Amino acid sequence: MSRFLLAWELGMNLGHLARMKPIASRLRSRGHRVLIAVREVPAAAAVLGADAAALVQAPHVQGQDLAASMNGYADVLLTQGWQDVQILWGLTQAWLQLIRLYRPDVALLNHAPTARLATRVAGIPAIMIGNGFEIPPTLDLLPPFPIASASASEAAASERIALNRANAVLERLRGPAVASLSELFNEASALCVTLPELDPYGVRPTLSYGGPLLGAAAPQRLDWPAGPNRVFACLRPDTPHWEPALGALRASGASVICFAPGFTAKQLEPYARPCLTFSSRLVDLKHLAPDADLCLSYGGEGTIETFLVAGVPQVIIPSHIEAEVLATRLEDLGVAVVLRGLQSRDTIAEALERAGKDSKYRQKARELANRHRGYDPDAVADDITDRIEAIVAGQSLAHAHYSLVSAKKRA
Amino acid sequence: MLTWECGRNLGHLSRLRLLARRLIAQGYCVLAVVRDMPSASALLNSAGIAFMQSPRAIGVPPVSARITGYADLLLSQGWRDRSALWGMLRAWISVYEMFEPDAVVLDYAPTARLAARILNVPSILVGTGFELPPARNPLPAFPGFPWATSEAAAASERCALENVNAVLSAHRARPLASLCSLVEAESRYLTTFAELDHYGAREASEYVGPLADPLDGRRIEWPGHSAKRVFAYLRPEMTEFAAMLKGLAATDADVVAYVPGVSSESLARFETPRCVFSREPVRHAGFLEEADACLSYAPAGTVTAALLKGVPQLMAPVHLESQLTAQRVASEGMGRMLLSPRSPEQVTHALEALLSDRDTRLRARGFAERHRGSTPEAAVARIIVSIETLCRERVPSQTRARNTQPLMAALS
Repeated sequence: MSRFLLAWELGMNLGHLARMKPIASRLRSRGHRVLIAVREVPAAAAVLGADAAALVQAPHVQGQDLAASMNGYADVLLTQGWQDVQILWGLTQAWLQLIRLYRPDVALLNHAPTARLATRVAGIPAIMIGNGFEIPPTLDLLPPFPIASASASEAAASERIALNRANAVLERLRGPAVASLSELFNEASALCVTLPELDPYGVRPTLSYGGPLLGAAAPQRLDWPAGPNRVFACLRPDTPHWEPALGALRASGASVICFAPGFTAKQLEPYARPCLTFSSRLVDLKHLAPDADLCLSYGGEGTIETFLVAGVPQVIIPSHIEAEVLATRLEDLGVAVVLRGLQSRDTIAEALERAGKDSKYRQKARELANRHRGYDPDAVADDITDRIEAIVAGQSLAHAHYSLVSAKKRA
Repeated sequence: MLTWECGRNLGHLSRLRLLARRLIAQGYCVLAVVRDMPSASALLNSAGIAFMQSPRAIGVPPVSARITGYADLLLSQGWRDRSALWGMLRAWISVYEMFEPDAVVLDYAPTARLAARILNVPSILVGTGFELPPARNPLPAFPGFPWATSEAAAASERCALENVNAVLSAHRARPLASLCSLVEAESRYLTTFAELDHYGAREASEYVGPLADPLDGRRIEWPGHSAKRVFAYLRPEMTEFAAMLKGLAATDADVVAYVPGVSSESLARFETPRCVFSREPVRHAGFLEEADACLSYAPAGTVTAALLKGVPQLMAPVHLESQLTAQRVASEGMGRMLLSPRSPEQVTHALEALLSDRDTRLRARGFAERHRGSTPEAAVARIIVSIETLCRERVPSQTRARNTQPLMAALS
């Protein structure tokens, strides 16, 4: 029996919780103790259900948005308290207090870089689970984001600041200094829980890919309304151009199911029509994906992956830097149309038309889906839990790659 | 364990810091569980106080209804959503179970209070009148707002009570008969005075006065160009903020203003030899007693500190709590309201009128005179005595075994 601390520190919405749920419940059923620290307690209560019993609020700074003009991973850190030594110290000591009270044997970090500083100070083994964005490549200098607007020199300048702050805090808390930020994000103890193709830095030989954890149960099953083409949409109030996007969906005449949490009824009312179903509650995507023709989203990874493994092409309006990085990758793979800059109902309608009608998007999406045919989320979750237990037992992660074969074998 | 769950800015932390320092000096093991990490990093750091993050209702849509009473405050902090409330309660319970406090001090921490009640942890409530309404069933509506009727407040209380009891039932905990039991506890201290109590005067024994450390903040000298002196505390969310700054700077008086959340460049536009701005809190000790007027958005802390030095108030409140504070001060004749000033001249005129208003000055001085003996040290000492008593009365091993065993299973 080991004591696990699962920590989600950065990022929004439901993706991190969907990853933690299947692992937490498996670790528990295998006799381990689990405490989950989460960024968003209300979402955790909704998604984790009974697994939310042992939960705490993750330390965080409030109200700093991820600006779009980011050059590299260090910029993400600088917006989340790493710009200021005093605040970074405060956040790290808050994580340390949690570690001292709970006494975990191992920390499972789900995008939790400040918690990583604390595990380093406390000398506790840390395993990172995340996507390629959250686990940057282990290089002396982290690479700039693989997007057109990123500048290597500015990314390096931000990294110098973040490294300096991290070492000041480590010194104060008597933890070992790091020579570069990548020491904190060591690929050898990381597990990328996405489709390898979705790693924005390209498939890395040094990183283990565990496959996506899309197994979290969704409470609500919806059926497609009548209509010629089936479009699943996932929009939030902070999605850029959500109004023209809904206008375009309404005008398209397609059968649409739109997951739209956080909107008021009044905001959505102008777009209502019989073949457009809105839901603010979680929707069972796996039920919808096999029959969908198109997925329109702000770039949430879980939604995109669920529809990609069903061979569905994507239209993406990226709402933050992580979505932009993922969207760029999908564009390169030829499975998505990405909408950047100013948009109108007509430009969005044109993009929906193009992604739906141009067969090359569907063909590329189907090729990708074929490579992952037989994807079984439960088998992947079992496999990832095995690997985590193996790390705790002192075994190495190296060269343990997610592949269809291993997932199938388990199934 | 010292907790702060709701509310903003620095007042809660400076109260808890005073208590924590004294408790640590007396050999207690102290953990602060607080809302805001950046301000905790600044205030608790130098005092060597361990702190953690308190649970928050992040991502829950804001409530648009008008606030009528304490229940609406709870509903706006995640209590409208049963699942969110369940999550926040679970998160508090996890902290209690890990730290196993012998007593908890609750500073505007209703969900932490709920958890303490479930776990039978002796509780000490501290707060202003606003944060600790009179313990009646149903809780009273906020006084002085036409929409805040007792019916509307009672309706909100029923809604909050239904939600909380649904959550308590999921925890197999006994239900609340009313929200009243959240605002009473083993001990309760109002960190204000009867004249400034948002709900009007209560039993004199409830008041201990503010727990603010007058040595907090940066030491600043008056510019020394004018016989009159104005201290100001302004925030960018105040309506007509630029007019406020401009009107303040144009006043024929020495001005020292604490203005957080604004760049030094934008403040520089208003700076003159007579008018000095600080982006950090200003130390009250040896400074505030020399002011002739205080201009602010009516935060309880600043208003109380200045009135204790006999300084009359000009108040432009920004939210409900400061609106209630300002109403109380104005009705006691110790200051004036400045509602939505449309021009800098209006601000200057209002300040100059206050500076020459003898009656208001006398009333403010009367307040200072009445409370001359009230010090933060005396207030802390009273609260510490009650913490000591509660800790002594508690038989730790027995109580813990009885109360936390079933809940510890959640961590297993």
